[in-house]
Amino acid sequence: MVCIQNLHFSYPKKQIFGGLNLQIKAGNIYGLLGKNGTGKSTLLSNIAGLLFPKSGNISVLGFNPAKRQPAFLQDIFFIPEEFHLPDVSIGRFVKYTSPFYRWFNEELFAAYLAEFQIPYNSNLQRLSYGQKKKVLISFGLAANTSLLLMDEPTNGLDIAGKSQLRKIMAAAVDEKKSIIISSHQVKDLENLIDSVIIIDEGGIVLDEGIERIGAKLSFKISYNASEVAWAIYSEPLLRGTVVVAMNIDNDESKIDLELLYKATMANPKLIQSIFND
Amino acid sequence: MSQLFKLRRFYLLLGKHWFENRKAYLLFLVTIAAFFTGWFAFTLMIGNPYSFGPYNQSMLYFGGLFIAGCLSASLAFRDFATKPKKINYLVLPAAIAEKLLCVLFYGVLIFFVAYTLIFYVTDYLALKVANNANAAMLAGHSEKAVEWKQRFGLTGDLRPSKLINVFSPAADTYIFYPGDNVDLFSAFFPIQSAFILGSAYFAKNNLFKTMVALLLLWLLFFVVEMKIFFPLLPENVSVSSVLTNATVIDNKGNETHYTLPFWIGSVATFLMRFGITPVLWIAIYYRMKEKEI
Repeated sequence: MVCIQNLHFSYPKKQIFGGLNLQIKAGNIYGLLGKNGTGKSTLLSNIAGLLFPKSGNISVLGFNPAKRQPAFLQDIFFIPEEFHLPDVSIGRFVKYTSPFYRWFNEELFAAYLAEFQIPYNSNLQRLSYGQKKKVLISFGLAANTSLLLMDEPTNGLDIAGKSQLRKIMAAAVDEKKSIIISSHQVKDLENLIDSVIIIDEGGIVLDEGIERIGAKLSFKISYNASEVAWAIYSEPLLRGTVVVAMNIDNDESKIDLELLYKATMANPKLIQSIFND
Repeated sequence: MSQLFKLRRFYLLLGKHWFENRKAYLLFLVTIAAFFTGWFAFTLMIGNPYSFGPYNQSMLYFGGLFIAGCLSASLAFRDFATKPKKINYLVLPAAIAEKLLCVLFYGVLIFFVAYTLIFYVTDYLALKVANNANAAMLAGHSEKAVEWKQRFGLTGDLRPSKLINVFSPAADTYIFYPGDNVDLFSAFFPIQSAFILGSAYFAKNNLFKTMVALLLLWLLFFVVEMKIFFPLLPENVSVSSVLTNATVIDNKGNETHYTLPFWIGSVATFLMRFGITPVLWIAIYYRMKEKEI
């Protein structure tokens, strides 16, 4: 679905990617994690054809995104962190924008709006930032595009909105679609994504499915000093120490994305070697 | 082909563009109408019978056309001014050619038609009012008529003002020289297109930046002409027509006229009148293609 080879990208005074490779497969929800300024939004913009690579290849659904052909644009939907919605009612917005998306489903859109508790007859400019974001997310999901790119979708959403988003998105993906969600609020992606991509210093540090992460790593609270000492990453708690360790005993533990992220950033080579085995 | 242009998609784009921008467009047109109305009202208050003459009407039409046309053109790509709007515009599933044609449809065609209509409606009404108000004076018998005739040194009868035809090269409606309306229109569309291009190139302050860029181009043209073109010519040459005629005066004072074939002048004139605008539109197309956030 998305194939990125040897991507080099830089802004005038800062190099972002120096040979990034990435494959995105259909049927998954990817969580794109990384520090501020590591290039999460830049990567999404390159995939959407809003930024052009300095060198390397990007193929999205068989298209070169930089050409921004209508057939490509109608099969992806990009929800940026900062977005614009016109000063019209939701109904009018749908009337004038949805025809550009071949597989847009208005019933689905209305259902998502209802889930987010936003009246269909609202005017977009009279909604709060979070409500506008919910409208855009609903529209993006109802557009039924093969690829949905979401840049920090949980920013501005309240607690209820985040759980509504999780519920909606879990039902939205099928084997033909993919969703890439970038976020620095790692906790927001828990129970939502099935693959993790961590980027740092111009490249991919980790690109693994949740199942494989669970099989290779264990996340637990330990009171055993030697276990803590041997852990890949540890953090003291009020009681005990939370650790990320190699899953030697094939334990089933709940993946803590925040710990995974911290462990990867602290020991990138070790984590990579574990998954390369 | 459907990736380059599709009629249905173009119609959808026109509809969406109008719906989202109609308030701004209508406000702009109302402003133009208000300006004309204010101008005519001011002129009526002065009561000068010459104020509605063909020259003044032409000046107002073309002056307003250039100012309003360049102002509206500088707003053609106002979506590029902010990142969220730029993203919204660039990811909309329509071909670049469709997006460009949409901008040209509203920014050039609709603007021109609407501007001309507004001018004619306000001008027609103003002339009606002026001619009625000045009916006695126009008859030439009132004291005011005598006063006006003395002030302007008129000998004949005062005549009612007539609506001008800006598209007709009539002798009495010119500003600079007879038939200059064709050249004014020929200059307007390239200049307007240059401002649209400026709007696509410069994200902020594009009106000012485009004016500076055009001024620099103008200066460059003169520098090239004075420093490169004229030094290439032999001494004692005077170019009497920009493109086709030159006169050489030898040491004895004999003049020799050189005239290029008529078709060269015709082709050059045609290209200058109608060639620059499409070239600028193509430049806008490529600028849109390479636009990033």
